[in-house]
Amino acid sequence: MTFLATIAVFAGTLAVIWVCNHRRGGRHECSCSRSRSVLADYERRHSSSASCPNRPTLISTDMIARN
Amino acid sequence: MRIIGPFLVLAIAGTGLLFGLNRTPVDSKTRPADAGAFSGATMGTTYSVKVAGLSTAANRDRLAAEIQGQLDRINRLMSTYDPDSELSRFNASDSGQWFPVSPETARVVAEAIRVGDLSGGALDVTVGPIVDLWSFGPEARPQGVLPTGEEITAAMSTVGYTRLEVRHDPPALRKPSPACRVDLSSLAKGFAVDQVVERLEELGIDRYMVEVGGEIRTAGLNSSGNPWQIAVELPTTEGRGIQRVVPLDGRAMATSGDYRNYFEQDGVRFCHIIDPRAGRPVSHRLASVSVLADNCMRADALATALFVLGPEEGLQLAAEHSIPALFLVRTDRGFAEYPISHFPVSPP
Repeated sequence: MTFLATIAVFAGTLAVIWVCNHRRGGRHECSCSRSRSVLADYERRHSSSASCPNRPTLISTDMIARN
Repeated sequence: MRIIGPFLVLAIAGTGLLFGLNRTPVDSKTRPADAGAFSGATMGTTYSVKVAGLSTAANRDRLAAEIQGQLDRINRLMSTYDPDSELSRFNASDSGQWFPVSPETARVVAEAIRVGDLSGGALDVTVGPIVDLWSFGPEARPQGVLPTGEEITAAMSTVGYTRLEVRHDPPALRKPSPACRVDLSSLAKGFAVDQVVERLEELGIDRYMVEVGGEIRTAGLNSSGNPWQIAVELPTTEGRGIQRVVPLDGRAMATSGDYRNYFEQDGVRFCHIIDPRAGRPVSHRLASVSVLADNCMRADALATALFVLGPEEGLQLAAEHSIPALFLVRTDRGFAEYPISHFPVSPP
Protein backbone atom coordinates (compact mmCIF):
# COMPACT_ATOMS: atom_id res chain seq x y z
CA MET A 1 0.00 0.00 0.00
CA THR A 2 2.81 2.35 0.97
CA PHE A 3 4.59 1.40 -2.22
CA LEU A 4 1.56 2.21 -4.39
CA ALA A 5 1.02 5.52 -2.59
CA THR A 6 4.63 6.50 -3.23
CA ILE A 7 4.28 5.63 -6.91
CA ALA A 8 1.10 7.70 -7.13
CA VAL A 9 2.65 10.72 -5.42
CA PHE A 10 5.72 10.50 -7.61
CA ALA A 11 3.71 10.22 -10.82
CA GLY A 12 1.45 13.07 -9.75
CA THR A 13 4.42 15.29 -8.94
CA LEU A 14 5.98 14.60 -12.31
CA ALA A 15 2.71 15.34 -14.07
CA VAL A 16 2.25 18.66 -12.28
CA ILE A 17 5.84 19.71 -13.00
CA TRP A 18 5.54 18.71 -16.65
CA VAL A 19 2.29 20.68 -17.06
CA CYS A 20 3.75 23.76 -15.38
CA ASN A 21 6.89 23.61 -17.47
CA HIS A 22 4.94 23.07 -20.65
CA ARG A 23 2.71 26.04 -19.91
CA ARG A 24 5.70 28.24 -19.34
CA GLY A 25 7.01 27.17 -22.72
CA GLY A 26 3.54 27.84 -24.14
CA ARG A 27 3.83 31.46 -23.08
CA HIS A 28 7.00 31.61 -25.15
CA GLU A 29 9.80 32.60 -22.90
CA CYS A 30 11.96 32.76 -25.99
CA SER A 31 12.57 36.09 -27.62
CA CYS A 32 9.76 35.88 -30.15
CA SER A 33 7.32 37.06 -27.51
CA ARG A 34 9.53 39.69 -25.99
CA SER A 35 9.32 43.32 -26.86
CA ARG A 36 11.46 44.04 -29.87
CA SER A 37 14.79 45.24 -28.73
CA VAL A 38 17.83 46.08 -30.75
CA LEU A 39 19.67 43.03 -29.58
CA ALA A 40 16.67 40.75 -30.00
CA ASP A 41 16.22 41.97 -33.57
CA TYR A 42 19.84 41.20 -34.33
CA GLU A 43 19.60 37.81 -32.74
CA ARG A 44 16.41 37.07 -34.65
CA ARG A 45 18.22 37.74 -37.90
CA HIS A 46 20.80 35.22 -36.79
CA SER A 47 18.26 32.72 -35.51
CA SER A 48 18.80 29.00 -35.72
CA SER A 49 16.09 26.46 -36.33
CA ALA A 50 14.96 24.88 -33.10
CA SER A 51 11.63 24.02 -31.57
CA CYS A 52 10.57 27.64 -31.93
CA PRO A 53 11.17 29.06 -35.41
CA ASN A 54 12.23 32.39 -33.95
CA ARG A 55 14.46 30.94 -31.32
CA PRO A 56 17.62 33.02 -31.20
CA THR A 57 21.12 31.79 -31.03
CA LEU A 58 23.11 33.09 -28.13
CA ILE A 59 24.73 36.01 -29.87
CA SER A 60 24.53 38.44 -27.02
CA THR A 61 26.33 41.73 -27.23
CA ASP A 62 28.07 43.56 -24.44
CA MET A 63 27.80 47.05 -25.88
CA ILE A 64 26.72 48.99 -28.95
CA ALA A 65 29.34 51.20 -30.57
CA ARG A 66 27.58 54.29 -31.79
CA ASN A 67 28.17 57.65 -33.28
CA MET B 1 11.19 3.03 4.26
CA ARG B 2 13.72 0.91 2.42
CA ILE B 3 11.32 0.88 -0.55
CA ILE B 4 10.40 4.56 -0.46
CA GLY B 5 14.02 5.78 -0.36
CA PRO B 6 14.98 5.02 -3.98
CA PHE B 7 11.73 6.56 -5.21
CA LEU B 8 12.41 9.77 -3.34
CA VAL B 9 15.81 9.94 -4.98
CA LEU B 10 14.18 9.31 -8.36
CA ALA B 11 11.58 12.00 -7.71
CA ILE B 12 14.22 14.58 -6.84
CA ALA B 13 16.33 13.66 -9.86
CA GLY B 14 13.29 13.74 -12.14
CA THR B 15 12.28 17.13 -10.85
CA GLY B 16 15.75 18.45 -11.52
CA LEU B 17 15.72 17.03 -15.01
CA LEU B 18 12.36 18.54 -15.83
CA PHE B 19 13.41 21.94 -14.64
CA GLY B 20 16.76 21.64 -16.34
CA LEU B 21 15.50 20.56 -19.76
CA ASN B 22 13.51 22.63 -22.18
CA ARG B 23 15.10 25.83 -21.00
CA THR B 24 14.95 28.66 -23.45
CA PRO B 25 18.06 30.69 -24.26
CA VAL B 26 18.65 33.70 -22.09
CA ASP B 27 19.93 36.76 -23.86
CA SER B 28 21.59 39.80 -22.39
CA LYS B 29 18.25 41.53 -21.82
CA THR B 30 17.22 38.90 -19.32
CA ARG B 31 20.48 38.32 -17.52
CA PRO B 32 20.45 39.34 -13.88
CA ALA B 33 22.12 42.62 -13.11
CA ASP B 34 25.89 42.24 -13.12
CA ALA B 35 27.67 43.34 -9.96
CA GLY B 36 30.49 44.63 -12.17
CA ALA B 37 28.36 46.98 -14.23
CA PHE B 38 28.66 50.75 -13.79
CA SER B 39 26.98 53.54 -15.71
CA GLY B 40 26.26 57.22 -15.48
CA ALA B 41 26.53 60.57 -17.21
CA THR B 42 29.66 62.38 -18.30
CA MET B 43 30.78 64.82 -21.01
CA GLY B 44 27.22 65.48 -22.11
CA THR B 45 26.72 61.80 -22.83
CA THR B 46 26.67 58.51 -20.95
CA TYR B 47 29.25 55.97 -19.92
CA SER B 48 29.15 52.29 -19.17
CA VAL B 49 31.82 50.12 -17.60
CA LYS B 50 31.65 46.36 -17.19
CA VAL B 51 34.14 44.42 -15.12
CA ALA B 52 34.03 40.65 -15.34
CA GLY B 53 34.58 38.68 -12.18
CA LEU B 54 34.14 41.49 -9.67
CA SER B 55 33.56 39.87 -6.31
CA THR B 56 32.50 42.04 -3.40
CA ALA B 57 30.28 45.04 -2.77
CA ALA B 58 33.23 46.87 -1.22
CA ASN B 59 35.16 46.54 -4.49
CA ARG B 60 32.15 47.78 -6.37
CA ASP B 61 31.77 50.98 -4.35
CA ARG B 62 35.44 51.78 -4.61
CA LEU B 63 35.49 51.10 -8.31
CA ALA B 64 32.42 53.25 -8.97
CA ALA B 65 34.13 56.17 -7.25
CA GLU B 66 37.38 55.60 -9.16
CA ILE B 67 35.61 55.52 -12.53
CA GLN B 68 33.54 58.61 -11.85
CA GLY B 69 36.63 60.37 -10.52
CA GLN B 70 38.60 59.73 -13.71
CA LEU B 71 35.76 60.94 -15.92
CA ASP B 72 35.16 64.06 -13.85
CA ARG B 73 38.86 64.87 -14.00
CA ILE B 74 38.97 64.68 -17.80
CA ASN B 75 35.81 66.75 -18.05
CA ARG B 76 37.33 69.44 -15.83
CA LEU B 77 40.35 69.56 -18.11
CA MET B 78 38.81 69.38 -21.58
CA SER B 79 35.17 70.45 -21.51
CA THR B 80 34.29 73.33 -23.80
CA TYR B 81 30.93 73.68 -22.03
CA ASP B 82 32.53 74.40 -18.66
CA PRO B 83 33.96 77.94 -18.70
CA ASP B 84 36.32 77.03 -15.87
CA SER B 85 37.85 73.98 -17.55
CA GLU B 86 41.52 74.10 -18.44
CA LEU B 87 40.74 74.13 -22.14
CA SER B 88 38.11 76.88 -21.81
CA ARG B 89 40.60 79.05 -19.94
CA PHE B 90 43.15 78.48 -22.69
CA ASN B 91 40.57 79.35 -25.34
CA ALA B 92 39.62 82.53 -23.49
CA SER B 93 43.19 83.67 -23.09
CA ASP B 94 44.39 86.54 -25.23
CA SER B 95 48.05 85.86 -24.86
CA GLY B 96 50.16 84.37 -27.59
CA GLN B 97 52.53 83.06 -24.90
CA TRP B 98 52.80 79.47 -23.71
CA PHE B 99 49.78 78.59 -21.59
CA PRO B 100 50.55 75.92 -18.95
CA VAL B 101 48.27 72.89 -19.17
CA SER B 102 48.11 69.41 -17.71
CA PRO B 103 50.18 66.62 -19.27
CA GLU B 104 46.88 65.00 -20.28
CA THR B 105 45.68 68.01 -22.29
CA ALA B 106 49.06 68.36 -23.96
CA ARG B 107 48.97 64.67 -24.86
CA VAL B 108 45.51 64.89 -26.45
CA VAL B 109 46.38 68.01 -28.43
CA ALA B 110 49.58 66.35 -29.67
CA GLU B 111 47.58 63.35 -30.87
CA ALA B 112 45.09 65.65 -32.58
CA ILE B 113 47.92 67.33 -34.45
CA ARG B 114 49.38 63.95 -35.43
CA VAL B 115 46.06 62.70 -36.85
CA GLY B 116 45.49 66.10 -38.45
CA ASP B 117 48.79 65.71 -40.31
CA LEU B 118 48.02 62.09 -41.22
CA SER B 119 44.65 63.03 -42.69
CA GLY B 120 45.73 66.15 -44.53
CA GLY B 121 43.76 68.41 -42.20
CA ALA B 122 40.54 66.37 -42.16
CA LEU B 123 40.80 66.46 -38.38
CA ASP B 124 41.28 69.99 -37.08
CA VAL B 125 40.67 70.72 -33.41
CA THR B 126 40.54 74.47 -34.07
CA VAL B 127 37.38 74.16 -36.16
CA GLY B 128 35.14 75.29 -33.26
CA PRO B 129 34.12 78.69 -34.68
CA ILE B 130 32.79 77.01 -37.83
CA VAL B 131 31.03 74.33 -35.78
CA ASP B 132 29.24 77.12 -33.93
CA LEU B 133 28.35 78.87 -37.20
CA TRP B 134 26.58 75.73 -38.33
CA SER B 135 24.49 75.58 -35.14
CA PHE B 136 26.52 72.95 -33.31
CA GLY B 137 28.92 73.37 -30.41
CA PRO B 138 28.92 75.30 -27.13
CA GLU B 139 28.32 78.73 -28.69
CA ALA B 140 25.97 77.53 -31.39
CA ARG B 141 23.46 79.92 -32.85
CA PRO B 142 19.83 78.84 -33.38
CA GLN B 143 19.31 76.04 -35.84
CA GLY B 144 17.93 76.96 -39.22
CA VAL B 145 20.08 80.08 -39.56
CA LEU B 146 22.52 79.04 -42.23
CA PRO B 147 25.82 80.93 -42.34
CA THR B 148 26.64 83.11 -45.29
CA GLY B 149 29.75 82.67 -47.39
CA GLU B 150 31.26 85.79 -45.82
CA GLU B 151 30.69 84.46 -42.32
CA ILE B 152 32.32 81.15 -43.22
CA THR B 153 35.30 82.91 -44.77
CA ALA B 154 35.72 85.08 -41.68
CA ALA B 155 35.50 82.08 -39.34
CA MET B 156 37.95 80.11 -41.48
CA SER B 157 40.59 82.77 -40.85
CA THR B 158 40.74 81.67 -37.20
CA VAL B 159 40.97 77.97 -38.07
CA GLY B 160 44.16 76.03 -38.63
CA TYR B 161 45.65 73.44 -36.31
CA THR B 162 49.05 73.76 -37.96
CA ARG B 163 49.58 77.06 -36.17
CA LEU B 164 48.69 75.55 -32.80
CA GLU B 165 51.74 74.56 -30.76
CA VAL B 166 52.10 71.99 -28.02
CA ARG B 167 54.94 71.43 -25.58
CA HIS B 168 55.34 68.49 -23.19
CA ASP B 169 58.06 69.61 -20.78
CA PRO B 170 56.65 71.55 -19.09
CA PRO B 171 53.27 70.89 -20.72
CA ALA B 172 51.82 73.94 -22.39
CA LEU B 173 49.89 75.16 -25.45
CA ARG B 174 50.38 78.24 -27.57
CA LYS B 175 47.91 79.63 -30.09
CA PRO B 176 48.57 81.93 -33.01
CA SER B 177 45.83 84.44 -32.26
CA PRO B 178 43.38 85.22 -29.43
CA ALA B 179 40.47 84.10 -31.64
CA CYS B 180 41.90 80.59 -32.05
CA ARG B 181 39.92 78.03 -30.07
CA VAL B 182 40.60 74.36 -29.43
CA ASP B 183 37.79 71.81 -29.20
CA LEU B 184 38.86 68.28 -28.29
CA SER B 185 35.41 66.71 -28.66
CA SER B 186 36.69 64.38 -31.36
CA LEU B 187 39.26 62.81 -29.02
CA ALA B 188 38.27 63.55 -25.43
CA LYS B 189 35.76 60.72 -25.06
CA GLY B 190 38.28 58.24 -26.37
CA PHE B 191 40.94 59.66 -24.06
CA ALA B 192 38.53 59.39 -21.12
CA VAL B 193 38.06 55.71 -21.96
CA ASP B 194 41.84 55.25 -21.95
CA GLN B 195 42.15 57.00 -18.59
CA VAL B 196 39.52 54.77 -17.00
CA VAL B 197 41.27 51.74 -18.50
CA GLU B 198 44.59 52.89 -17.10
CA ARG B 199 43.08 53.16 -13.61
CA LEU B 200 41.38 49.76 -13.85
CA GLU B 201 44.69 48.17 -14.79
CA GLU B 202 46.45 49.92 -11.92
CA LEU B 203 43.88 48.27 -9.67
CA GLY B 204 44.76 44.88 -11.12
CA ILE B 205 41.62 44.50 -13.22
CA ASP B 206 42.24 42.77 -16.53
CA ARG B 207 38.74 41.85 -17.79
CA TYR B 208 36.77 44.96 -18.63
CA MET B 209 34.74 46.86 -21.19
CA VAL B 210 34.80 50.65 -20.93
CA GLU B 211 32.49 52.82 -23.02
CA VAL B 212 32.01 56.59 -23.11
CA GLY B 213 29.54 58.00 -25.63
CA GLY B 214 29.84 54.93 -27.85
CA GLU B 215 33.65 54.78 -27.89
CA ILE B 216 34.82 51.48 -26.42
CA ARG B 217 37.88 49.63 -25.21
CA THR B 218 38.06 46.11 -23.85
CA ALA B 219 40.48 43.61 -22.39
CA GLY B 220 40.25 39.96 -21.44
CA LEU B 221 37.04 37.96 -21.66
CA ASN B 222 33.51 38.95 -20.68
CA SER B 223 31.59 37.37 -17.81
CA SER B 224 30.55 34.51 -20.12
CA GLY B 225 34.17 33.70 -20.84
CA ASN B 226 34.01 34.96 -24.44
CA PRO B 227 35.61 37.93 -26.18
CA TRP B 228 33.60 41.09 -25.58
CA GLN B 229 30.93 41.32 -28.25
CA ILE B 230 30.57 44.89 -29.52
CA ALA B 231 27.79 45.79 -31.91
CA VAL B 232 28.19 48.32 -34.69
CA GLU B 233 25.02 50.34 -34.87
CA LEU B 234 22.92 50.43 -38.03
CA PRO B 235 23.41 54.05 -39.19
CA THR B 236 19.78 54.99 -39.62
CA THR B 237 17.71 57.78 -38.14
CA GLU B 238 14.67 55.52 -37.73
CA GLY B 239 14.94 53.56 -34.52
CA ARG B 240 18.03 51.65 -33.57
CA GLY B 241 19.46 48.49 -34.99
CA ILE B 242 22.65 46.53 -35.30
CA GLN B 243 24.67 46.17 -38.46
CA ARG B 244 27.42 43.88 -37.23
CA VAL B 245 28.88 42.40 -34.08
CA VAL B 246 32.61 42.65 -33.56
CA PRO B 247 34.50 40.47 -31.08
CA LEU B 248 36.78 43.06 -29.54
CA ASP B 249 40.01 41.48 -28.44
CA GLY B 250 41.81 43.95 -26.23
CA ARG B 251 41.57 46.86 -28.61
CA ALA B 252 39.51 50.03 -28.83
CA MET B 253 36.73 50.86 -31.27
CA ALA B 254 35.30 54.27 -32.09
CA THR B 255 32.56 55.24 -34.51
CA SER B 256 31.83 58.44 -36.34
CA GLY B 257 28.66 59.07 -38.34
CA ASP B 258 26.07 61.57 -39.42
CA TYR B 259 22.89 59.76 -38.46
CA ARG B 260 22.22 61.10 -34.96
CA ASN B 261 23.29 64.70 -34.65
CA TYR B 262 22.04 66.77 -37.58
CA PHE B 263 19.34 69.19 -38.70
CA GLU B 264 17.47 69.56 -41.94
CA GLN B 265 16.60 72.70 -43.82
CA ASP B 266 14.76 72.88 -47.14
CA GLY B 267 15.20 69.14 -47.55
CA VAL B 268 18.96 69.26 -47.04
CA ARG B 269 20.61 67.49 -44.13
CA PHE B 270 23.38 69.27 -42.26
CA CYS B 271 25.29 66.95 -39.96
CA HIS B 272 27.39 67.93 -36.99
CA ILE B 273 30.69 66.86 -38.48
CA ILE B 274 32.35 69.77 -40.23
CA ASP B 275 34.92 69.44 -42.96
CA PRO B 276 37.52 71.93 -41.75
CA ARG B 277 38.96 72.21 -45.25
CA ALA B 278 35.63 73.38 -46.69
CA GLY B 279 34.12 75.14 -43.69
CA ARG B 280 30.84 73.28 -43.98
CA PRO B 281 29.23 70.00 -42.87
CA VAL B 282 30.38 66.92 -44.71
CA SER B 283 28.03 65.81 -47.46
CA HIS B 284 28.83 62.42 -48.92
CA ARG B 285 27.34 58.95 -48.91
CA LEU B 286 29.38 57.64 -46.00
CA ALA B 287 26.94 57.04 -43.14
CA SER B 288 29.39 55.83 -40.51
CA VAL B 289 32.87 54.54 -40.01
CA SER B 290 34.08 52.39 -37.12
CA VAL B 291 37.80 52.22 -36.42
CA LEU B 292 39.92 49.86 -34.33
CA ALA B 293 43.12 50.97 -32.64
CA ASP B 294 45.30 50.05 -29.70
CA ASN B 295 43.97 52.97 -27.71
CA CYS B 296 40.62 54.69 -27.78
CA MET B 297 41.88 58.25 -28.23
CA ARG B 298 43.50 57.26 -31.51
CA ALA B 299 40.45 55.29 -32.64
CA ASP B 300 38.25 58.29 -31.84
CA ALA B 301 40.41 60.75 -33.75
CA LEU B 302 40.84 58.44 -36.73
CA ALA B 303 37.09 57.77 -36.93
CA THR B 304 36.37 61.49 -37.21
CA ALA B 305 39.15 62.03 -39.75
CA LEU B 306 38.06 59.11 -41.93
CA PHE B 307 34.45 60.23 -41.76
CA VAL B 308 35.37 63.73 -42.92
CA LEU B 309 37.42 62.27 -45.76
CA GLY B 310 34.44 60.24 -46.96
CA PRO B 311 34.08 56.88 -48.66
CA GLU B 312 36.81 57.30 -51.27
CA GLU B 313 39.59 59.30 -49.64
CA GLY B 314 38.84 57.67 -46.28
CA LEU B 315 39.07 54.14 -47.62
CA GLN B 316 42.28 55.01 -49.39
CA LEU B 317 43.87 56.44 -46.25
CA ALA B 318 42.76 53.46 -44.14
CA ALA B 319 44.23 51.06 -46.68
CA GLU B 320 47.50 52.97 -47.03
CA HIS B 321 48.08 53.09 -43.28
CA SER B 322 46.58 49.67 -42.42
CA ILE B 323 43.88 51.18 -40.23
CA PRO B 324 41.24 48.52 -39.45
CA ALA B 325 37.92 50.19 -40.25
CA LEU B 326 34.37 49.39 -41.27
CA PHE B 327 32.83 51.89 -43.70
CA LEU B 328 29.03 51.86 -44.08
CA VAL B 329 28.08 53.70 -47.25
CA ARG B 330 24.52 54.63 -48.21
CA THR B 331 23.19 53.05 -51.36
CA ASP B 332 19.79 53.03 -53.01
CA ARG B 333 19.10 49.71 -51.28
CA GLY B 334 20.45 50.34 -47.83
CA PHE B 335 24.09 50.27 -46.82
CA ALA B 336 27.16 48.83 -48.46
CA GLU B 337 29.83 47.54 -46.10
CA TYR B 338 33.52 48.07 -46.68
CA PRO B 339 35.61 46.36 -44.01
CA ILE B 340 39.24 47.20 -44.55
CA SER B 341 42.64 46.28 -43.09
CA HIS B 342 41.32 43.08 -41.48
CA PHE B 343 38.45 44.72 -39.61
CA PRO B 344 36.80 41.68 -38.00
CA VAL B 345 33.14 41.33 -38.88
CA SER B 346 30.77 38.53 -38.01
CA PRO B 347 28.88 36.74 -40.80
CA PRO B 348 25.74 38.67 -41.88
